[in-house]
Amino acid sequence: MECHDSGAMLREISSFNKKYLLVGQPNVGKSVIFSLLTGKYVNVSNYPGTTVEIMSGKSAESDYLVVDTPGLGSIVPRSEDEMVSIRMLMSEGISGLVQVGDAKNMRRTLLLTLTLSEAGVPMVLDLNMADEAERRGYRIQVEELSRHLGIPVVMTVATEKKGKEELIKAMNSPGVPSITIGYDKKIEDAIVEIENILPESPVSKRFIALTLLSANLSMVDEIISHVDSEKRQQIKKIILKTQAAYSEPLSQVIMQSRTALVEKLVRDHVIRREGVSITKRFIYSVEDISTHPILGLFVLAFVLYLLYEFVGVFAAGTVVDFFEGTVFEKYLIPPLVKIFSVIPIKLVRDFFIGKYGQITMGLTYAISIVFPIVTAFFIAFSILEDSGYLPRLAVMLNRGFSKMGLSGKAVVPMVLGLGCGTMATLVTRVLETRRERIITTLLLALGIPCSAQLGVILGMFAVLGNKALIFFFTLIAVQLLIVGYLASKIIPGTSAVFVTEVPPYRVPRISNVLTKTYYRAKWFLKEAVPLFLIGTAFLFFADLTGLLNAIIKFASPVVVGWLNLPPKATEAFIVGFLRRDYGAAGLFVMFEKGMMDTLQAFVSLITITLFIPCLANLLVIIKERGAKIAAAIFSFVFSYAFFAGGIINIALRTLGVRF
Amino acid sequence: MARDFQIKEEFEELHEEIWITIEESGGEPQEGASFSPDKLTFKKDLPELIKHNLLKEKNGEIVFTEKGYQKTRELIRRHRLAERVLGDILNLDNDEIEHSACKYEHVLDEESADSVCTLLGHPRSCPHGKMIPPGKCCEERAVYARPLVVPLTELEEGETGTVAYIGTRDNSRLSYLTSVGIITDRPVELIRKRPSYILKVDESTIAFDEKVAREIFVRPKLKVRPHRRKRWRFGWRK
Repeated sequence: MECHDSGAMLREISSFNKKYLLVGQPNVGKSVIFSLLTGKYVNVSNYPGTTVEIMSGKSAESDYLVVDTPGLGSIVPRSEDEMVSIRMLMSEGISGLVQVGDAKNMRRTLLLTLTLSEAGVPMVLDLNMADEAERRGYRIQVEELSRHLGIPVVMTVATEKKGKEELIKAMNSPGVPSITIGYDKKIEDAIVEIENILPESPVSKRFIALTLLSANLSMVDEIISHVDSEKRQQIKKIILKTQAAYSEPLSQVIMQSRTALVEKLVRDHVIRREGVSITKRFIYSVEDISTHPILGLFVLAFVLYLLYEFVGVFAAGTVVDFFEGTVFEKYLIPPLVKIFSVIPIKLVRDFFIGKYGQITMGLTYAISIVFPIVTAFFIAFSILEDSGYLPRLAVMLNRGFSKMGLSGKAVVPMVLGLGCGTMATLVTRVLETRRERIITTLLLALGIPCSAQLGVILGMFAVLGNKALIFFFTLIAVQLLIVGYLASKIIPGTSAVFVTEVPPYRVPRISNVLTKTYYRAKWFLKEAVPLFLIGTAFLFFADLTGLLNAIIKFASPVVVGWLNLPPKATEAFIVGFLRRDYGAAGLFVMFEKGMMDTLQAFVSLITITLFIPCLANLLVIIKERGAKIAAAIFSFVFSYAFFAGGIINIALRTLGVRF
Repeated sequence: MARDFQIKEEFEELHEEIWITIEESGGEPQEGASFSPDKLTFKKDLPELIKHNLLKEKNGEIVFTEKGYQKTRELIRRHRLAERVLGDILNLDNDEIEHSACKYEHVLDEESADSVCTLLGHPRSCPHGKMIPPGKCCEERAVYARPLVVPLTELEEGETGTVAYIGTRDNSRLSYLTSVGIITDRPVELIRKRPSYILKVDESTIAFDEKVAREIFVRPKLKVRPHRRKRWRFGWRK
């Protein structure tokens, strides 16, 4: 994935003639529309708040730039990512807005339309998910609505590429909204007063004034950071004075005028045919079970079971056997070994086909073991993502999270962490407080196995049995609870509240699942495989120089004495520094070859799961949280993994547990 | 409600005294209920009440007339509701309650008494454990619930209502909740309270924790017991 910081982004934007900003509430399909317009791939999921980076792309048909923004709930920012969207909106050189809205939720859509309309920027309203709206019995009078608002309105079904031409046509002739909203006298007075203080800006001053009046006072400085501080103080005074005239918060007063107009628009232009279809009733029942306090746990268990069967038993068992045992050992490795055997220098030969050879170890691990498992996991995870189950998981886990001093909102990055910890660490931006961001980053680094690692782990549990699997998950969950609880006690601050939207269940589209899997698998081959090779090279040279033996000897009291693992397991932990899945794959092979018994395998899995995050994740932690916190997290996780692994090892041995 | 004559405050005290005397002697205050006037503090005012047809003499005893009974009942109701407000909402101790309730009861008229009664959830007894005579609002509850504003936490799973207001001072949360469609007068359905609150508004489903649920105030619709819904529901029934 391409990532830009917003500063670089803004510079890039200003080099284009026509720039369109895609805005809209979360989970309305902005990213699909973006892909449709630019032909660029963005990860699309049925999960609000997955776009955290600003993406831009050149439109395939015309010469304008399209910029995708993180979902914008309202114009009053709640978190870093919403702040970014608002700043983009107020920045120089935006030639138009394309609001992507949910056609079945016209009240919400139009509320944002009205809010945006005051910016005085040319706009297009795209009512997406028109098929869902139609299925639910809504009919929208597009032309009348368009006339009423003064901007082009189009209907699209982005996932089926329906309405694309109309959208592009509309974008060629966007309209400046003609609809006006009148507010209470005192608010209007305050708007004029603030307008007089504000400097000239690309969007209307009225819009900025209203945004400031609606925002929390603490955010004023952030929103108009370009204005000098004296003027900011003046503006704050006006806001306070205006607020004093109302018992309700100003945002409520402002919102009331807008919602009244929205009601009128909906009454005039949206027709509803009543009736509940059978599918809807069925979806209701599923809805009921999957978020039920008790039955929901069974659903979760069932989902995990399917995941285990597919990734653990099928991919890690059958497919890996085939790849490793047949394709690699029989057909690929022997000829390659033959080719490399012609190299006269032993050292170079060993580098490729020796004990720590690039081909015999690095590539074999990466391609024959990890790759099939990861691909299977990507398929399963994409299906889960698109179905809409993940937000429901957040609903289920919220209570447990509050025990850890986290709001349920932190479930979003935590669940995404099952996909990729690095990406999830970026997503912690959606969290509202710094405290939550730190705790979530810590827990992600500590105990959330990423897809690749989880796949390998599931593969080993196919042998260890599902009782061990349940035990494993319980133990990891307990670790997370303990550490989260303690962290919430140590790190000062209050916990934020949990509010999230639960999108409807959708049947995952095979094409989207495959596309996602393709891009993720490609990413794995491009980003992860080189790290496997680097890790192997390190082992090779460490072995050559005797460093490896020294490390093994040095770590022996911990690895052998404390964890009761064979000395070779140290190698797995070393490569685990680079990628945790490589470490897990090392353990997988050791277990396969009978170098570890089941108990040792179990302890090693617990330890590698709690073990430090991979290099990429570490770099992101440093970038997002700063070097100091990153160092603290790193050293804590490192020691805690061995500490907890050892305690569990001793406990299991004392109690005589067998798998 | 128009009053046919304005009884002075001390007459009100006397009315209440009579009521309590009847209660304490084990009788039920009602029309024609008799009491012994000897211990009353405001004995001297008795003839005045008889003159106004609030009390009458019957077989040598002084008893309530219908009018007098209704008046007294209303006074007692207001007094005891006032006590509840002072005790439950203002958190005063018993002495302070006694002292202030006498003043506060005179401020309440019949309608505001009913609102207070509804607000308090139709309490049956005052903080001292004595019965609060039920008002019109209490009886009506048996037939239909009055529009009554409660936080979402008070709703049962499966109940519907309309949004009254969002009671938060946090502008960003307020506008977020508005942006997802939690807008005054919009119908909502509470799907779940556990493990998180799940609310349906139009075509959106919003999940949040209890902290947020306490900030959303709704007017519940007709109380429909969840298990009477046609929709098939899973879960433990109460």
